[in-house]
Amino acid sequence: MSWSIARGALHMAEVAVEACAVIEKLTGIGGPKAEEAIKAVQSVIASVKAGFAGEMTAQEVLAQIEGLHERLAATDSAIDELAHKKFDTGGPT
Amino acid sequence: MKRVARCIGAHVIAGVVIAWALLACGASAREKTLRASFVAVNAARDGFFAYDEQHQRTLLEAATDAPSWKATIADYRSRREKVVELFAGAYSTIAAATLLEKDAKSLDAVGEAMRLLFAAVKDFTGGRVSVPTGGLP
Repeated sequence: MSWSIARGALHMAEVAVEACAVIEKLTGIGGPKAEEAIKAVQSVIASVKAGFAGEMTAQEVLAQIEGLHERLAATDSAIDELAHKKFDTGGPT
Repeated sequence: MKRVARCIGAHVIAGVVIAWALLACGASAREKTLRASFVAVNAARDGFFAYDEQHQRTLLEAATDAPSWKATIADYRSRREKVVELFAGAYSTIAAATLLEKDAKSLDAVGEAMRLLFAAVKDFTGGRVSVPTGGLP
């Protein structure tokens, strides 16, 4: 199963729905029920599209590496300060 | 004409259902796997942070003079760097897998990076940080 197949199927569905909407407007075939059905399918397509947009981003993941280094550097700095107090001034750790 | 419209409508609905099913069964499963991997690495990282701070404090309390402290902490931080590189590697492979949607092998790379990372965390912390032992991609 691949995203490209899903995207292709979604695109075909979208085009077909638009074609149905045009036919319905031009000919009046189907009436209010057809219009409702078209709107329902359009809303399903919008939901599926929103699902594509909700993917986890690479930036979100890569930002963790920076956070990792920052957090460890902060710990090292705090420990170094404690060590400085203990050995250079005789203070408590 | 009504039959044609009905026929088109039926195909449209079928197309949407197929698209939905493909998303739910294929990409969604991949997305879930990557998200679960991300959460597992974050959990291990948080445990590692806690261990790191506590262990450095313990080393400092045990140190009796500045030269021995400097040698001890330099050795500890040097060994820690190897684990940090594995964390960065795990995050990088997860990030790459989110971009390489069509590459099935990218999930295998995530699994391998996580296995190496979790083994290193377990070894480095003497098992004090709990990491997943199974269910990796």
